[in-house]
Amino acid sequence: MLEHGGHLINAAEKYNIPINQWIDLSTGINPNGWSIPSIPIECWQRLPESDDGLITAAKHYYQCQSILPVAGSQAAIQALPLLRSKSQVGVLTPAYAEHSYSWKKAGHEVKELIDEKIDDQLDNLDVLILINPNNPTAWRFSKEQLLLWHKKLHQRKGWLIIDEAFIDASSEDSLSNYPATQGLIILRSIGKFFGLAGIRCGFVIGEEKILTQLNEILGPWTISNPGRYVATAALADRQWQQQTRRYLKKQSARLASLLTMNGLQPDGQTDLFVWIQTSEAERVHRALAQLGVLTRLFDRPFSLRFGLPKDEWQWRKLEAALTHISTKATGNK
Amino acid sequence: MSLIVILAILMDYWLGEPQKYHPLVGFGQLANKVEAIFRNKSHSDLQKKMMGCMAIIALVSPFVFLIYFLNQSNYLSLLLSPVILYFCIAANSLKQHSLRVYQALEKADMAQAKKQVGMIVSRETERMTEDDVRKAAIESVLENGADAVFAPIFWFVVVGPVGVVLYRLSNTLDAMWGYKNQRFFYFGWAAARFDDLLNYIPARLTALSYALVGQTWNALKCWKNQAHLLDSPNGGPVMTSGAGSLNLKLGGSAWYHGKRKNKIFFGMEKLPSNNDINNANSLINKSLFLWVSLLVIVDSIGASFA
Repeated sequence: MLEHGGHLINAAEKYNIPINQWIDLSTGINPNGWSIPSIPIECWQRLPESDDGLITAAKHYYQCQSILPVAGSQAAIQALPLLRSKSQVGVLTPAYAEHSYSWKKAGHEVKELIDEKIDDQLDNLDVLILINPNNPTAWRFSKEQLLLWHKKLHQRKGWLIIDEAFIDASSEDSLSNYPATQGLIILRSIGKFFGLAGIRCGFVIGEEKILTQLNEILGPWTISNPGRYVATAALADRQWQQQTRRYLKKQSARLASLLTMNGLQPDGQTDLFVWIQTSEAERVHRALAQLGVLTRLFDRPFSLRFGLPKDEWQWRKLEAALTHISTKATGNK
Repeated sequence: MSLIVILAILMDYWLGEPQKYHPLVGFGQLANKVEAIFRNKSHSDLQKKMMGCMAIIALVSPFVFLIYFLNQSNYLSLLLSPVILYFCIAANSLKQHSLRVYQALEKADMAQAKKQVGMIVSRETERMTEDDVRKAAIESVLENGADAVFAPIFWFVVVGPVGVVLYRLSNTLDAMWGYKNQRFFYFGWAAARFDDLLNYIPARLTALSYALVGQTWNALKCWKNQAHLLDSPNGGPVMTSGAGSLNLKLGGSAWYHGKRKNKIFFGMEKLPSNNDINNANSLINKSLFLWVSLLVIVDSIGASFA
C-alpha cells in the first residue's frame, strides 16, 4: 500500500504531541466541509437503494447524463484496470501515485510521462490518466487539449481517464458536463471540496457500458446508506457550494501569500492546496511537525503540499510556526 | 592533443563564429536537398524511419571519409585538426547571444530582450516575464555548453577529427529534423536517436563538470532528484546540475507554439537575476578550463611515458 497524507495519529505518536494540538494540512481536503444534518434512523437500519435520489442529485450537480456512485474515487481507481486486457498506460509524473500503482498491480504496462512527452507517446498508449488540476503540482490541462488527446486515443479504442478530484471550486475546467463519449472517463470526489472524505463517496462519469461493467465488479451497496444520504443533501445545497467556491479561493490565496511572506514561494496552487518545490522540503516538513503542523512531504522532486487551515486559531498557529522556522533558518546563516 | 584543443578554443575566442562561408550552413542546404529526395509522404511509418537512417548515412559518410583521408597525412592533420575543431565548437557565439539578452535586460528594454532570447530558444517569447527571459537565456547557455562546447571536444579527444565532424553533423541534423511534428515525426526519429546516443556520455561529463566548478553538493542533489523530470534524457543531467551549481531555480511551465506545457521547476530556490546570465557563462568558462587542464595533465603524463 502507498503512503498518503492524513496520518495524524501516527504523527502525534512520532512527534509526541497530543492529537488535539495539531493542525493537519497534509491533505487537500476542505477543513470546513459541508455540515452534517441529523440522519434519519432508517438510513442506519435499511439497505441502501439505488433510486434514493443520490444519482439524480449527482446528475444535476455534475451536469451529466450517466454517472455511477462509488465508494470514493479510490474504488474506481482500483476497478478500472480490471476492465481492460493488458494495455500500455501513461500516467503523468509527478502525480498522485494510486493510479499508476493499481494499473501496474493489474498487470498493465505503465509509463510515467512528463507533460511534454504526452504528445510524442500518445500513439503508443492505450490509456492515458491525468489528474486535473494535478495533485500535487496543480498543473492544469485545457479542455481543448484533453479532448484532442481523447480523440486520438479513442481512434484506437483507447481511454482517457481524468481524475477531477480537486476541480469543484473551478468547475469551468471540468469535462464532467461533456456528453458521455466512448473512452472518456471522469472521476469526481465528494471528499475534497465538500470536505466529506470520511463518507467515502465518489463518482465515475462516462458512457453507460463502462459504468455497467464497473458496477458489475464493485457489486451492490458500495456506499453506506448514511453516506448516500449526506452526499445527496450536500450535492443539492447550491447556496453552500457557491459560498464555498468564493471562500476557498480567498483562503488559498491567503495561504499562498502567507507562505510567500515566509520564504516559501508557491510553485502551484489549486483552491484546496498550495505546492512548493524546495530542496529544503524535508527540513521544513520536520521543523513544522515538531511545532504541531502536519504537511505532506514528497521526495521526487523534493516538495511540500499545504492544505488550508481550518480557522483563525489554525491560521495563527501556522503563521507562528512559519515565522519560527524562517527566523531559525536565517539565524543559522 | 591538448595543444590542438587550446588552439581551437583560442581561434573561437578571437575570431568568433565564421560570419561568411560557415561550412555548416552549406551542410544545412545540402541536408534540405537530401531530405527532399529521401522523405516521401506516401511511405509507411517504418519506411520513413528507415529513410531517415539512410539520409543520415548518405549525408554524413562522405564528410567523415573525407576527413579520414585528409588526416592520413600527419602534416596535413596537424594543420587541419585545430581548424576542424574550431568549426565544430561554438563557445563564443553562445556567449555573445546571451550577452545581448543581458544588455537588453540591464537597459530594461523588454522588447529587445525578448527578441534576443527568441533567437536562442524555441519557446514563445510573447508572454514571457523578465524572470522567464533570464531563465530561458541561462537554460540555453547551459544546454548549448553541452552541445556546442563539451560534446565536440569530447569526441575530438576520443576519436579525433573524424569523431568531432561526425558529432557536429549529426547534431546539426538533429536540430533540423529532430522534431515531433507531422513532417519529421518518423523521418527525424533516427537523427534524434543518433544524437541522443552521441550525447549520452558527453552530457554526463558536462553535468559533472558543472557540478565540480560550482556548488557541487547542490548540483549533484538536483541532478539525482530532478533530472528524470526533464524532457530530454541528456538535457536532464546537464540542466539540473547547472541550475544546482549556480544555486538557481530554473524551468517551470512555458508556451510552445500556442500551447502551454506544464514543466517542473528545477535547481534550487533563488530566481535568477540579470547577472546570473554572466554567472552561467562563467560556469562554462570554468568547466572549459577544467577540461583543458585535465587534457594538459593527461598529455604530459602520456609524454613522460613516451
